[in-house]
Amino acid sequence: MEYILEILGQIGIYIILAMSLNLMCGLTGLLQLGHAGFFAVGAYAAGLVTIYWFQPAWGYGNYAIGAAAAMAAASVCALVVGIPCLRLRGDYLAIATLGFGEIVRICLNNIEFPGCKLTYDEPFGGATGIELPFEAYYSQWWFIWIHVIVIYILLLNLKRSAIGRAFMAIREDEIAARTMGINPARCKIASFLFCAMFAGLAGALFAYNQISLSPNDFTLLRTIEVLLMVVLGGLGSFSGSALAAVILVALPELLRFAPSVGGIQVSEYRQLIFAALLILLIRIVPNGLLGVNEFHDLPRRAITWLRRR
Amino acid sequence: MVATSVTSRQTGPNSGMSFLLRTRGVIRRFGGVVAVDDVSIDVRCGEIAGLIGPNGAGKTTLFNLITGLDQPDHGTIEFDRRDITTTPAHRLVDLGIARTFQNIRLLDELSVADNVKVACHRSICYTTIHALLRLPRFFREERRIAARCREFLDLFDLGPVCDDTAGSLAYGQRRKLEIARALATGARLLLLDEPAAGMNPQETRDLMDMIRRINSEFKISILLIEHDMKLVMCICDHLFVMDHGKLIAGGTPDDVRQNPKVIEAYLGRRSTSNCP
Ligand SMILES: Nc1ncnc2c1ncn2[C@@H]1O[C@H](COP(=O)(O)OP(=O)(O)OP(=O)(O)O)[C@@H](O)[C@H]1O
Ligand SMILES: [Mg+2]
Repeated sequence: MEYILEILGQIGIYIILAMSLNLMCGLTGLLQLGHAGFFAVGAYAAGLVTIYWFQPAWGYGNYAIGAAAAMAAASVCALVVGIPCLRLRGDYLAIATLGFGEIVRICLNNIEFPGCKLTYDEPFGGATGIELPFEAYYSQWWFIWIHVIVIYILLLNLKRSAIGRAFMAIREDEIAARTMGINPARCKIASFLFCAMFAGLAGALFAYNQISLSPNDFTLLRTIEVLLMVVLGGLGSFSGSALAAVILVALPELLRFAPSVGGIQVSEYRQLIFAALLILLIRIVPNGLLGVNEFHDLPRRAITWLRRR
Repeated sequence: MVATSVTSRQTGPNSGMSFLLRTRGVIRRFGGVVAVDDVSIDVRCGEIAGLIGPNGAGKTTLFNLITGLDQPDHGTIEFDRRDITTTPAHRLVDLGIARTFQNIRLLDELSVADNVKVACHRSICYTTIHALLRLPRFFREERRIAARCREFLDLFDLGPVCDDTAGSLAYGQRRKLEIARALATGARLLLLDEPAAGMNPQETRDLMDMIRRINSEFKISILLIEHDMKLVMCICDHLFVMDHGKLIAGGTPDDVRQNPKVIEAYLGRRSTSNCP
Protein backbone atom coordinates (compact mmCIF):
# COMPACT_ATOMS: atom_id res chain seq x y z
CA MET A 1 0.00 0.00 0.00
CA GLU A 2 2.80 2.39 0.93
CA TYR A 3 4.37 1.50 -2.38
CA ILE A 4 1.24 2.24 -4.38
CA LEU A 5 0.77 5.61 -2.70
CA GLU A 6 4.41 6.41 -3.39
CA ILE A 7 3.87 5.66 -7.08
CA LEU A 8 0.69 7.73 -7.02
CA GLY A 9 2.67 10.69 -5.73
CA GLN A 10 5.29 10.20 -8.45
CA ILE A 11 2.56 10.12 -11.07
CA GLY A 12 1.14 13.38 -9.74
CA ILE A 13 4.49 15.15 -10.00
CA TYR A 14 4.99 13.83 -13.52
CA ILE A 15 1.51 15.02 -14.49
CA ILE A 16 2.34 18.55 -13.37
CA LEU A 17 5.63 18.43 -15.25
CA ALA A 18 4.01 17.09 -18.40
CA MET A 19 1.12 19.57 -18.35
CA SER A 20 3.43 22.54 -17.83
CA LEU A 21 5.73 21.41 -20.65
CA ASN A 22 2.69 20.89 -22.85
CA LEU A 23 1.72 24.52 -22.34
CA MET A 24 4.93 25.56 -24.02
CA CYS A 25 5.55 22.73 -26.48
CA GLY A 26 2.03 21.75 -27.34
CA LEU A 27 0.05 24.95 -27.05
CA THR A 28 2.63 27.54 -28.05
CA GLY A 29 4.68 25.25 -30.26
CA LEU A 30 8.07 26.04 -28.71
CA LEU A 31 10.33 23.05 -28.19
CA GLN A 32 11.87 23.32 -24.76
CA LEU A 33 14.42 20.76 -23.51
CA GLY A 34 15.42 22.31 -20.22
CA HIS A 35 12.42 21.21 -18.21
CA ALA A 36 14.49 19.18 -15.76
CA GLY A 37 16.49 22.35 -15.14
CA PHE A 38 13.44 24.33 -14.03
CA PHE A 39 12.30 21.34 -12.02
CA ALA A 40 15.72 21.26 -10.33
CA VAL A 41 15.75 25.00 -9.67
CA GLY A 42 12.33 24.68 -8.02
CA ALA A 43 13.32 21.68 -5.96
CA TYR A 44 16.58 23.22 -4.75
CA ALA A 45 15.00 26.62 -4.08
CA ALA A 46 12.30 25.04 -1.95
CA GLY A 47 14.79 22.69 -0.33
CA LEU A 48 17.29 25.38 0.60
CA VAL A 49 14.64 27.76 1.91
CA THR A 50 13.34 25.01 4.15
CA ILE A 51 16.80 23.91 5.28
CA TYR A 52 17.88 27.43 6.25
CA TRP A 53 14.64 28.82 7.63
CA PHE A 54 12.70 25.82 8.83
CA GLN A 55 10.13 26.69 11.51
CA PRO A 56 8.67 23.51 13.03
CA ALA A 57 5.74 25.47 14.44
CA TRP A 58 4.61 26.75 11.02
CA GLY A 59 3.78 23.37 9.55
CA TYR A 60 2.54 23.81 6.02
CA GLY A 61 3.61 27.46 6.16
CA ASN A 62 7.09 26.16 5.45
CA TYR A 63 5.72 24.50 2.38
CA ALA A 64 4.00 27.71 1.23
CA ILE A 65 7.19 29.74 1.55
CA GLY A 66 9.24 27.04 -0.16
CA ALA A 67 6.76 26.68 -3.02
CA ALA A 68 6.66 30.44 -3.54
CA ALA A 69 10.45 30.54 -3.61
CA ALA A 70 10.51 27.63 -6.06
CA MET A 71 8.09 29.30 -8.46
CA ALA A 72 9.88 32.63 -8.20
CA ALA A 73 13.30 31.08 -8.82
CA ALA A 74 12.10 29.07 -11.80
CA SER A 75 10.35 32.13 -13.25
CA VAL A 76 13.49 34.23 -12.92
CA CYS A 77 15.44 31.51 -14.72
CA ALA A 78 12.82 31.44 -17.47
CA LEU A 79 13.21 35.19 -17.93
CA VAL A 80 16.99 34.99 -17.96
CA VAL A 81 16.99 32.15 -20.49
CA GLY A 82 13.91 33.24 -22.39
CA ILE A 83 14.51 36.90 -23.21
CA PRO A 84 17.76 36.38 -25.14
CA CYS A 85 16.31 33.28 -26.80
CA LEU A 86 13.09 34.96 -27.90
CA ARG A 87 14.20 35.31 -31.45
CA LEU A 88 15.28 31.71 -31.58
CA ARG A 89 12.88 29.27 -33.12
CA GLY A 90 12.61 25.53 -33.36
CA ASP A 91 15.90 23.75 -32.98
CA TYR A 92 17.80 26.75 -31.66
CA LEU A 93 15.47 27.34 -28.76
CA ALA A 94 15.58 23.62 -28.02
CA ILE A 95 19.39 23.67 -27.91
CA ALA A 96 19.54 26.81 -25.78
CA THR A 97 17.14 25.37 -23.21
CA LEU A 98 18.89 22.02 -23.34
CA GLY A 99 22.06 23.88 -22.45
CA PHE A 100 20.29 25.55 -19.55
CA GLY A 101 19.14 22.22 -18.16
CA GLU A 102 22.65 20.80 -18.26
CA ILE A 103 24.19 23.96 -16.79
CA VAL A 104 21.81 23.76 -13.84
CA ARG A 105 22.64 20.13 -13.21
CA ILE A 106 26.39 20.67 -13.46
CA CYS A 107 26.22 23.71 -11.19
CA LEU A 108 24.27 21.79 -8.57
CA ASN A 109 26.84 19.03 -8.83
CA ASN A 110 29.65 21.42 -8.00
CA ILE A 111 28.14 23.87 -5.53
CA GLU A 112 28.50 22.98 -1.90
CA PHE A 113 25.66 24.61 -0.05
CA PRO A 114 27.06 25.59 3.38
CA GLY A 115 25.36 23.91 6.27
CA CYS A 116 23.62 21.34 4.11
CA LYS A 117 24.27 17.72 4.71
CA LEU A 118 26.25 16.34 1.81
CA THR A 119 25.21 12.89 0.77
CA TYR A 120 28.58 11.69 -0.43
CA ASP A 121 27.99 8.21 0.78
CA GLU A 122 24.82 7.76 -1.25
CA PRO A 123 24.89 5.03 -3.87
CA PHE A 124 25.11 7.75 -6.56
CA GLY A 125 28.83 7.75 -5.85
CA GLY A 126 30.27 11.16 -5.30
CA ALA A 127 27.27 13.23 -6.23
CA THR A 128 26.48 16.01 -3.83
CA GLY A 129 23.02 16.62 -2.58
CA ILE A 130 21.01 18.34 0.10
CA GLU A 131 18.80 16.91 2.77
CA LEU A 132 15.71 18.58 4.14
CA PRO A 133 14.58 18.23 7.76
CA PHE A 134 12.62 15.04 8.03
CA GLU A 135 9.57 16.91 9.37
CA ALA A 136 9.32 18.65 5.99
CA TYR A 137 7.63 15.67 4.41
CA TYR A 138 4.59 17.68 3.28
CA SER A 139 4.03 16.11 -0.13
CA GLN A 140 1.85 13.17 0.71
CA TRP A 141 0.19 11.68 -2.33
CA TRP A 142 -3.09 13.48 -1.70
CA PHE A 143 -1.32 16.79 -1.25
CA ILE A 144 0.33 16.34 -4.64
CA TRP A 145 -2.97 15.40 -6.22
CA ILE A 146 -4.69 18.52 -4.92
CA HIS A 147 -2.04 20.43 -6.85
CA VAL A 148 -2.59 18.30 -9.92
CA ILE A 149 -6.30 19.07 -9.96
CA VAL A 150 -5.89 22.79 -9.32
CA ILE A 151 -3.18 23.16 -11.97
CA TYR A 152 -5.21 21.13 -14.44
CA ILE A 153 -8.17 23.46 -13.99
CA LEU A 154 -6.01 26.58 -14.22
CA LEU A 155 -4.33 25.38 -17.41
CA LEU A 156 -7.65 24.45 -19.00
CA ASN A 157 -8.98 27.91 -18.14
CA LEU A 158 -5.90 29.43 -19.69
CA LYS A 159 -6.24 27.33 -22.82
CA ARG A 160 -9.85 28.38 -23.35
CA SER A 161 -9.21 32.09 -23.01
CA ALA A 162 -7.81 34.81 -25.22
CA ILE A 163 -4.36 34.01 -23.86
CA GLY A 164 -4.58 30.35 -24.84
CA ARG A 165 -5.90 31.31 -28.27
CA ALA A 166 -2.98 33.69 -28.73
CA PHE A 167 -0.54 30.90 -27.77
CA MET A 168 -2.13 28.55 -30.28
CA ALA A 169 -2.18 31.24 -32.95
CA ILE A 170 1.58 31.58 -32.57
CA ARG A 171 1.96 27.82 -32.89
CA GLU A 172 -0.16 27.73 -36.03
CA ASP A 173 1.20 30.74 -37.86
CA GLU A 174 3.26 33.42 -36.20
CA ILE A 175 3.00 35.87 -39.10
CA ALA A 176 -0.79 35.61 -39.25
CA ALA A 177 -0.88 35.99 -35.47
CA ARG A 178 1.11 39.21 -35.69
CA THR A 179 -1.27 40.72 -38.22
CA MET A 180 -4.12 39.99 -35.82
CA GLY A 181 -2.56 42.02 -33.06
CA ILE A 182 -0.74 39.34 -31.14
CA ASN A 183 2.66 40.29 -29.79
CA PRO A 184 4.67 37.09 -30.28
CA ALA A 185 7.52 38.09 -27.99
CA ARG A 186 5.18 38.74 -25.09
CA CYS A 187 3.20 35.57 -25.62
CA LYS A 188 6.27 33.40 -25.88
CA ILE A 189 7.72 34.82 -22.68
CA ALA A 190 4.38 34.40 -20.92
CA SER A 191 4.16 30.82 -22.07
CA PHE A 192 7.74 30.14 -20.98
CA LEU A 193 7.05 31.77 -17.60
CA PHE A 194 3.97 29.66 -16.92
CA CYS A 195 5.82 26.56 -18.04
CA ALA A 196 8.79 27.22 -15.76
CA MET A 197 6.65 28.33 -12.84
CA PHE A 198 4.64 25.12 -12.73
CA ALA A 199 7.81 23.07 -13.25
CA GLY A 200 9.25 24.92 -10.26
CA LEU A 201 6.17 24.10 -8.22
CA ALA A 202 6.53 20.46 -9.22
CA GLY A 203 10.12 20.74 -8.02
CA ALA A 204 8.96 22.00 -4.62
CA LEU A 205 6.50 19.11 -4.32
CA PHE A 206 9.29 16.75 -5.28
CA ALA A 207 11.60 18.22 -2.63
CA TYR A 208 9.00 17.83 0.12
CA ASN A 209 8.33 14.32 -1.08
CA GLN A 210 11.89 13.04 -1.44
CA ILE A 211 13.46 14.98 1.46
CA SER A 212 16.94 14.32 0.07
CA LEU A 213 17.78 15.80 -3.31
CA SER A 214 20.63 14.98 -5.61
CA PRO A 215 21.60 16.57 -8.95
CA ASN A 216 21.16 13.14 -10.51
CA ASP A 217 17.40 13.48 -10.08
CA PHE A 218 17.42 16.17 -12.74
CA THR A 219 19.17 14.72 -15.76
CA LEU A 220 18.24 15.20 -19.38
CA LEU A 221 16.57 11.82 -19.19
CA ARG A 222 13.86 13.35 -17.04
CA THR A 223 13.16 16.04 -19.62
CA ILE A 224 12.94 13.36 -22.28
CA GLU A 225 10.55 11.29 -20.17
CA VAL A 226 8.30 14.30 -19.69
CA LEU A 227 8.49 15.22 -23.36
CA LEU A 228 7.52 11.66 -24.19
CA MET A 229 4.42 12.07 -22.03
CA VAL A 230 3.53 15.30 -23.80
CA VAL A 231 3.88 13.75 -27.24
CA LEU A 232 2.17 10.51 -26.31
CA GLY A 233 -0.74 12.34 -24.69
CA GLY A 234 -1.16 14.72 -27.59
CA LEU A 235 0.43 18.12 -28.17
CA GLY A 236 -1.92 20.70 -26.79
CA SER A 237 -4.01 18.33 -24.68
CA PHE A 238 -3.52 18.68 -20.95
CA SER A 239 -5.78 15.69 -20.29
CA GLY A 240 -3.64 13.72 -22.69
CA SER A 241 -0.49 14.64 -20.80
CA ALA A 242 -2.06 13.48 -17.56
CA LEU A 243 -3.20 10.23 -19.11
CA ALA A 244 0.20 9.60 -20.66
CA ALA A 245 1.95 10.35 -17.37
CA VAL A 246 -0.22 7.76 -15.64
CA ILE A 247 0.53 5.19 -18.32
CA LEU A 248 4.25 5.86 -18.58
CA VAL A 249 4.82 5.74 -14.83
CA ALA A 250 2.42 2.94 -13.98
CA LEU A 251 3.13 0.62 -16.90
CA PRO A 252 6.76 -0.21 -16.05
CA GLU A 253 5.69 -0.74 -12.44
CA LEU A 254 2.85 -3.03 -13.45
CA LEU A 255 5.14 -5.01 -15.71
CA ARG A 256 7.17 -5.86 -12.61
CA PHE A 257 4.27 -7.99 -11.51
CA ALA A 258 3.71 -9.66 -14.84
CA PRO A 259 3.18 -13.40 -14.40
CA SER A 260 5.59 -15.88 -15.87
CA VAL A 261 4.31 -17.33 -19.11
CA GLY A 262 5.50 -20.79 -20.10
CA GLY A 263 8.48 -20.67 -17.81
CA ILE A 264 9.63 -17.25 -19.07
CA GLN A 265 9.77 -14.56 -16.42
CA VAL A 266 7.96 -11.76 -18.33
CA SER A 267 8.86 -9.16 -15.74
CA GLU A 268 12.55 -9.52 -16.60
CA TYR A 269 11.83 -8.23 -20.07
CA ARG A 270 9.77 -5.30 -18.86
CA GLN A 271 12.03 -2.61 -20.35
CA LEU A 272 11.84 -4.37 -23.70
CA ILE A 273 8.08 -4.79 -23.53
CA PHE A 274 7.67 -1.22 -22.40
CA ALA A 275 9.63 0.11 -25.38
CA ALA A 276 7.74 -2.12 -27.79
CA LEU A 277 4.39 -0.94 -26.38
CA LEU A 278 5.45 2.67 -26.75
CA ILE A 279 6.41 2.23 -30.38
CA LEU A 280 3.14 0.45 -30.97
CA LEU A 281 1.15 3.25 -29.29
CA ILE A 282 2.79 5.98 -31.33
CA ARG A 283 2.14 3.98 -34.49
CA ILE A 284 -1.52 3.59 -33.64
CA VAL A 285 -2.10 7.17 -32.49
CA PRO A 286 0.50 9.38 -34.15
CA ASN A 287 -1.22 12.53 -32.91
CA GLY A 288 -1.15 11.32 -29.33
CA LEU A 289 -3.74 9.53 -27.27
CA LEU A 290 -6.18 12.44 -27.17
CA GLY A 291 -4.94 14.57 -30.07
CA VAL A 292 -5.80 18.13 -29.15
CA ASN A 293 -8.91 17.17 -27.16
CA GLU A 294 -9.49 17.35 -23.44
CA PHE A 295 -11.48 14.84 -21.41
CA HIS A 296 -14.56 17.07 -21.46
CA ASP A 297 -14.39 17.30 -25.28
CA LEU A 298 -14.58 13.55 -25.71
CA PRO A 299 -18.35 12.98 -25.44
CA ARG A 300 -19.02 15.72 -27.99
CA ARG A 301 -16.31 14.36 -30.29
CA ALA A 302 -17.73 10.87 -30.00
CA ILE A 303 -21.19 12.14 -30.97
CA THR A 304 -19.98 14.02 -34.04
CA TRP A 305 -17.85 11.01 -35.01
CA LEU A 306 -20.84 8.71 -34.75
CA ARG A 307 -22.99 11.12 -36.77
CA ARG A 308 -20.46 11.17 -39.57
CA ARG A 309 -20.55 7.38 -39.85
CA MET B 1 -20.38 55.70 -61.78
CA VAL B 2 -17.04 54.72 -60.34
CA ALA B 3 -15.54 58.15 -60.85
CA THR B 4 -18.32 60.06 -59.07
CA SER B 5 -18.49 57.72 -56.13
CA VAL B 6 -14.94 58.65 -55.17
CA THR B 7 -15.96 62.11 -54.03
CA SER B 8 -19.36 61.15 -52.68
CA ARG B 9 -17.85 58.59 -50.33
CA GLN B 10 -15.34 60.95 -48.77
CA THR B 11 -15.56 61.39 -45.03
CA GLY B 12 -14.21 64.02 -42.67
CA PRO B 13 -14.15 67.80 -42.92
CA ASN B 14 -11.53 68.52 -45.58
CA SER B 15 -12.40 65.39 -47.40
CA GLY B 16 -10.67 66.35 -50.59
CA MET B 17 -7.28 65.81 -49.01
CA SER B 18 -7.91 63.15 -46.37
CA PHE B 19 -5.51 60.36 -47.07
CA LEU B 20 -5.67 57.28 -44.95
CA LEU B 21 -2.50 55.64 -46.15
CA ARG B 22 0.45 57.42 -47.69
CA THR B 23 3.83 55.99 -48.62
CA ARG B 24 6.70 58.23 -49.65
CA GLY B 25 9.75 57.00 -51.54
CA VAL B 26 9.62 53.51 -50.09
CA ILE B 27 12.53 51.27 -51.06
CA ARG B 28 13.10 47.65 -50.14
CA ARG B 29 16.03 45.64 -51.44
CA PHE B 30 16.65 41.92 -51.21
CA GLY B 31 20.30 41.49 -52.06
CA GLY B 32 20.59 42.69 -55.63
CA VAL B 33 16.86 42.76 -56.26
CA VAL B 34 15.09 46.03 -55.59
CA ALA B 35 11.66 44.56 -54.83
CA VAL B 36 10.09 47.95 -54.07
CA ASP B 37 11.79 50.91 -55.70
CA ASP B 38 10.84 54.42 -54.64
CA VAL B 39 7.11 53.83 -54.39
CA SER B 40 4.78 56.61 -53.26
CA ILE B 41 1.08 55.88 -53.14
CA ASP B 42 -1.92 57.49 -51.45
CA VAL B 43 -5.07 55.71 -50.44
CA ARG B 44 -7.94 58.04 -49.64
CA CYS B 45 -10.46 57.52 -46.88
CA GLY B 46 -13.36 55.41 -48.01
CA GLU B 47 -12.06 54.39 -51.40
CA ILE B 48 -11.29 51.06 -52.97
CA ALA B 49 -7.81 51.23 -54.41
CA GLY B 50 -6.22 48.57 -56.55
CA LEU B 51 -2.59 47.58 -56.85
CA ILE B 52 -1.76 45.72 -60.03
CA GLY B 53 1.33 44.61 -61.86
CA PRO B 54 2.93 41.55 -63.38
CA ASN B 55 4.31 38.70 -61.29
CA GLY B 56 7.28 39.70 -59.18
CA ALA B 57 6.45 43.40 -59.46
CA GLY B 58 6.80 43.84 -55.69
CA LYS B 59 3.14 44.14 -54.74
CA THR B 60 3.22 41.65 -51.88
CA THR B 61 6.49 43.12 -50.64
CA LEU B 62 4.83 46.56 -50.48
CA PHE B 63 1.97 45.02 -48.48
CA ASN B 64 4.47 43.51 -46.08
CA LEU B 65 6.07 46.92 -45.59
CA ILE B 66 2.72 48.61 -44.97
CA THR B 67 1.59 45.96 -42.50
CA GLY B 68 4.81 46.04 -40.52
CA LEU B 69 5.91 42.51 -41.33
CA ASP B 70 8.94 43.97 -43.06
CA GLN B 71 10.77 47.29 -42.75
CA PRO B 72 11.68 49.52 -45.72
CA ASP B 73 15.32 50.44 -46.33
CA HIS B 74 14.25 53.97 -47.19
CA GLY B 75 11.13 56.09 -47.21
CA THR B 76 8.22 56.60 -44.88
CA ILE B 77 4.77 55.15 -44.47
CA GLU B 78 2.00 57.16 -42.88
CA PHE B 79 -1.37 55.96 -41.73
CA ASP B 80 -3.96 58.48 -40.72
CA ARG B 81 -1.24 61.17 -40.52
CA ARG B 82 0.84 59.05 -38.18
CA ASP B 83 4.25 57.73 -39.11
CA ILE B 84 4.08 53.94 -39.00
CA THR B 85 7.28 53.15 -40.86
CA THR B 86 8.78 51.20 -37.98
CA THR B 87 5.65 50.28 -36.02
CA PRO B 88 5.55 46.51 -35.39
CA ALA B 89 2.77 44.55 -37.06
CA HIS B 90 0.74 43.81 -33.94
CA ARG B 91 0.51 47.49 -33.03
CA LEU B 92 -0.83 48.42 -36.45
CA VAL B 93 -3.91 46.39 -35.62
CA ASP B 94 -4.73 48.95 -32.94
CA LEU B 95 -4.50 51.72 -35.51
CA GLY B 96 -6.83 49.84 -37.83
CA ILE B 97 -4.81 48.06 -40.52
CA ALA B 98 -5.69 44.47 -41.37
CA ARG B 99 -4.72 42.23 -44.25
CA THR B 100 -5.13 38.89 -45.92
CA PHE B 101 -2.40 36.86 -47.54
CA GLN B 102 -1.78 35.66 -51.07
CA ASN B 103 -1.21 32.12 -49.79
CA ILE B 104 -4.01 31.98 -47.23
CA ARG B 105 -2.72 31.94 -43.67
CA LEU B 106 -5.36 30.47 -41.41
CA LEU B 107 -4.86 28.84 -38.04
CA ASP B 108 -5.66 25.42 -39.43
CA GLU B 109 -5.93 23.44 -36.21
CA LEU B 110 -8.23 25.97 -34.56
CA SER B 111 -11.95 26.13 -35.13
CA VAL B 112 -13.41 28.62 -37.57
CA ALA B 113 -14.90 30.57 -34.67
CA ASP B 114 -11.58 30.64 -32.82
CA ASN B 115 -9.85 31.99 -35.92
CA VAL B 116 -12.11 35.00 -35.78
CA LYS B 117 -11.87 35.25 -32.00
CA VAL B 118 -8.09 35.48 -32.24
CA ALA B 119 -8.59 38.55 -34.39
CA CYS B 120 -10.54 40.19 -31.55
CA HIS B 121 -7.49 39.76 -29.30
CA ARG B 122 -6.74 43.47 -28.92
CA SER B 123 -10.29 44.38 -27.96
CA ILE B 124 -10.59 41.82 -25.18
CA CYS B 125 -10.17 43.48 -21.84
CA TYR B 126 -9.54 40.92 -19.18
CA THR B 127 -6.26 39.96 -17.58
CA THR B 128 -4.60 36.61 -17.11
CA ILE B 129 -6.00 36.48 -13.60
CA HIS B 130 -9.56 36.87 -14.90
CA ALA B 131 -8.90 34.04 -17.34
CA LEU B 132 -7.22 31.69 -14.86
CA LEU B 133 -9.88 32.11 -12.20
CA ARG B 134 -12.80 32.58 -14.58
CA LEU B 135 -14.00 35.75 -12.93
CA PRO B 136 -17.28 37.29 -14.16
CA ARG B 137 -15.52 39.70 -16.47
CA PHE B 138 -14.04 36.76 -18.36
CA PHE B 139 -17.49 35.39 -19.17
CA ARG B 140 -18.85 38.83 -20.06
CA GLU B 141 -16.03 39.50 -22.49
CA GLU B 142 -16.10 36.02 -24.00
CA ARG B 143 -19.83 36.36 -24.61
CA ARG B 144 -19.32 39.72 -26.27
CA ILE B 145 -16.55 38.33 -28.47
CA ALA B 146 -18.57 35.26 -29.40
CA ALA B 147 -21.49 37.42 -30.51
CA ARG B 148 -19.20 39.65 -32.53
CA CYS B 149 -17.59 36.65 -34.22
CA ARG B 150 -20.97 35.27 -35.04
CA GLU B 151 -21.86 38.48 -36.88
CA PHE B 152 -18.78 38.34 -39.05
CA LEU B 153 -19.17 34.63 -39.73
CA ASP B 154 -22.80 35.05 -40.72
CA LEU B 155 -21.83 37.88 -43.03
CA PHE B 156 -19.73 35.39 -44.97
CA ASP B 157 -22.13 32.45 -44.59
CA LEU B 158 -19.66 30.67 -42.38
CA GLY B 159 -22.05 30.31 -39.43
CA PRO B 160 -22.91 26.66 -40.10
CA VAL B 161 -19.26 25.58 -40.10
CA CYS B 162 -18.13 27.66 -37.14
CA ASP B 163 -17.16 24.61 -35.05
CA ASP B 164 -15.17 22.87 -37.79
CA THR B 165 -11.44 23.28 -37.90
CA ALA B 166 -10.29 25.92 -40.34
CA GLY B 167 -8.09 23.36 -42.08
CA SER B 168 -11.12 21.35 -43.14
CA LEU B 169 -12.78 24.17 -45.09
CA ALA B 170 -13.11 24.33 -48.86
CA TYR B 171 -10.87 26.78 -50.72
CA GLY B 172 -13.48 29.49 -51.26
CA GLN B 173 -14.53 29.33 -47.63
CA ARG B 174 -10.93 29.66 -46.55
CA ARG B 175 -10.59 32.88 -48.52
CA LYS B 176 -13.81 34.20 -46.99
CA LEU B 177 -12.74 33.23 -43.48
CA GLU B 178 -9.50 35.11 -43.90
CA ILE B 179 -11.40 38.25 -44.89
CA ALA B 180 -13.86 37.79 -42.02
CA ARG B 181 -10.94 37.45 -39.65
CA ALA B 182 -9.27 40.60 -40.99
CA LEU B 183 -12.53 42.54 -40.56
CA ALA B 184 -12.93 41.29 -37.01
CA THR B 185 -9.78 43.15 -35.98
CA GLY B 186 -11.85 46.31 -36.34
CA ALA B 187 -9.88 47.52 -39.32
CA ARG B 188 -10.34 50.85 -41.08
CA LEU B 189 -8.03 49.86 -43.92
CA LEU B 190 -8.20 46.39 -45.34
CA LEU B 191 -5.40 45.10 -47.55
CA LEU B 192 -6.40 42.14 -49.67
CA ASP B 193 -3.67 40.20 -51.45
CA GLU B 194 -5.22 38.50 -54.48
CA PRO B 195 -8.55 37.70 -52.83
CA ALA B 196 -10.02 36.19 -56.01
CA ALA B 197 -7.07 33.93 -56.80
CA GLY B 198 -8.29 30.41 -57.49
CA MET B 199 -11.97 31.31 -57.41
CA ASN B 200 -14.45 30.43 -60.15
CA PRO B 201 -16.34 33.26 -61.95
CA GLN B 202 -19.40 32.94 -59.71
CA GLU B 203 -17.32 33.05 -56.54
CA THR B 204 -15.42 36.02 -57.94
CA ARG B 205 -18.66 37.92 -58.57
CA ASP B 206 -19.86 37.20 -55.04
CA LEU B 207 -16.53 38.34 -53.71
CA MET B 208 -16.78 41.63 -55.65
CA ASP B 209 -20.19 42.31 -54.16
CA MET B 210 -18.82 41.48 -50.75
CA ILE B 211 -15.88 43.85 -51.14
CA ARG B 212 -18.19 46.64 -52.25
CA ARG B 213 -20.44 45.95 -49.30
CA ILE B 214 -17.58 45.98 -46.81
CA ASN B 215 -16.49 49.27 -48.29
CA SER B 216 -19.86 51.01 -48.23
CA GLU B 217 -21.57 49.42 -45.25
CA PHE B 218 -18.66 49.29 -42.83
CA LYS B 219 -16.93 52.41 -44.17
CA ILE B 220 -13.69 50.51 -44.60
CA SER B 221 -11.10 51.63 -47.11
CA ILE B 222 -9.64 48.87 -49.19
CA LEU B 223 -6.37 48.36 -51.01
CA LEU B 224 -6.34 45.20 -53.05
CA ILE B 225 -3.88 43.34 -55.20
CA GLU B 226 -5.55 41.45 -57.99
CA HIS B 227 -4.71 39.86 -61.30
CA ASP B 228 -8.33 39.58 -62.40
CA MET B 229 -8.64 42.72 -64.52
CA LYS B 230 -12.41 42.57 -64.71
CA LEU B 231 -12.66 42.73 -60.98
CA VAL B 232 -10.07 45.45 -60.60
CA MET B 233 -11.46 47.71 -63.32
CA CYS B 234 -14.98 47.39 -61.99
CA ILE B 235 -14.64 47.94 -58.28
CA CYS B 236 -11.58 50.15 -57.87
CA ASP B 237 -11.87 53.91 -57.57
CA HIS B 238 -8.16 54.31 -58.00
CA LEU B 239 -5.42 52.11 -59.43
CA PHE B 240 -1.68 51.86 -58.91
CA VAL B 241 0.44 49.91 -61.32
CA MET B 242 3.81 48.48 -60.36
CA ASP B 243 6.43 46.85 -62.54
CA HIS B 244 9.88 45.69 -61.47
CA GLY B 245 9.47 47.40 -58.13
CA LYS B 246 8.62 50.78 -59.62
CA LEU B 247 5.29 52.56 -59.61
CA ILE B 248 4.69 53.11 -63.31
CA ALA B 249 1.21 54.59 -63.23
CA GLY B 250 -1.56 55.72 -60.93
CA GLY B 251 -5.04 57.07 -61.54
CA THR B 252 -8.59 56.09 -62.28
CA PRO B 253 -9.12 52.76 -64.01
CA ASP B 254 -9.82 54.56 -67.29
CA ASP B 255 -6.61 56.58 -67.11
CA VAL B 256 -4.63 53.49 -66.31
CA ARG B 257 -6.22 51.49 -69.07
CA GLN B 258 -5.08 54.05 -71.62
CA ASN B 259 -1.63 54.64 -70.19
CA PRO B 260 0.88 53.41 -72.81
CA LYS B 261 3.41 52.37 -70.15
CA VAL B 262 0.85 50.17 -68.52
CA ILE B 263 -0.28 48.66 -71.76
CA GLU B 264 3.30 47.87 -72.55
CA ALA B 265 4.12 46.40 -69.18
CA TYR B 266 1.01 44.57 -68.38
CA LEU B 267 -2.36 45.28 -69.85
CA GLY B 268 -1.63 44.97 -73.55
CA ARG B 269 -3.52 41.77 -74.01
CA ARG B 270 -6.72 42.49 -72.15
CA SER B 271 -7.14 46.26 -72.01
CA THR B 272 -10.71 46.18 -73.28
CA SER B 273 -12.33 43.89 -70.73
CA ASN B 274 -15.81 44.95 -69.62
CA CYS B 275 -17.59 44.83 -66.32
CA PRO B 276 -19.82 41.79 -65.81
N1 LIG C 1 11.96 37.60 -48.60
C1 LIG C 1 12.49 37.78 -49.82
N2 LIG C 1 13.80 37.53 -50.05
C2 LIG C 1 14.34 37.72 -51.27
N3 LIG C 1 13.66 38.15 -52.33
C3 LIG C 1 12.35 38.42 -52.19
C4 LIG C 1 11.70 38.25 -50.92
N4 LIG C 1 10.39 38.59 -51.05
C5 LIG C 1 10.25 38.96 -52.34
N5 LIG C 1 11.40 38.86 -53.02
C6 LIG C 1 11.60 39.22 -54.42
O1 LIG C 1 11.04 40.48 -54.63
C7 LIG C 1 10.37 40.53 -55.87
C8 LIG C 1 8.94 40.96 -55.68
O2 LIG C 1 8.20 39.94 -55.05
P1 LIG C 1 6.67 40.06 -54.63
O3 LIG C 1 6.27 38.81 -53.96
O4 LIG C 1 6.48 41.30 -53.88
O5 LIG C 1 5.97 40.16 -56.03
P2 LIG C 1 4.40 40.25 -56.36
O6 LIG C 1 4.19 41.50 -57.10
O7 LIG C 1 3.60 40.04 -55.14
O8 LIG C 1 4.24 39.04 -57.36
P3 LIG C 1 3.01 38.01 -57.52
O9 LIG C 1 2.03 38.65 -58.41
O10 LIG C 1 3.64 36.83 -58.15
O11 LIG C 1 2.46 37.74 -56.17
C9 LIG C 1 10.50 39.17 -56.51
O12 LIG C 1 11.56 39.23 -57.44
C10 LIG C 1 10.88 38.28 -55.37
O13 LIG C 1 11.70 37.24 -55.81
MG1 LIG D 1 2.28 38.67 -54.45
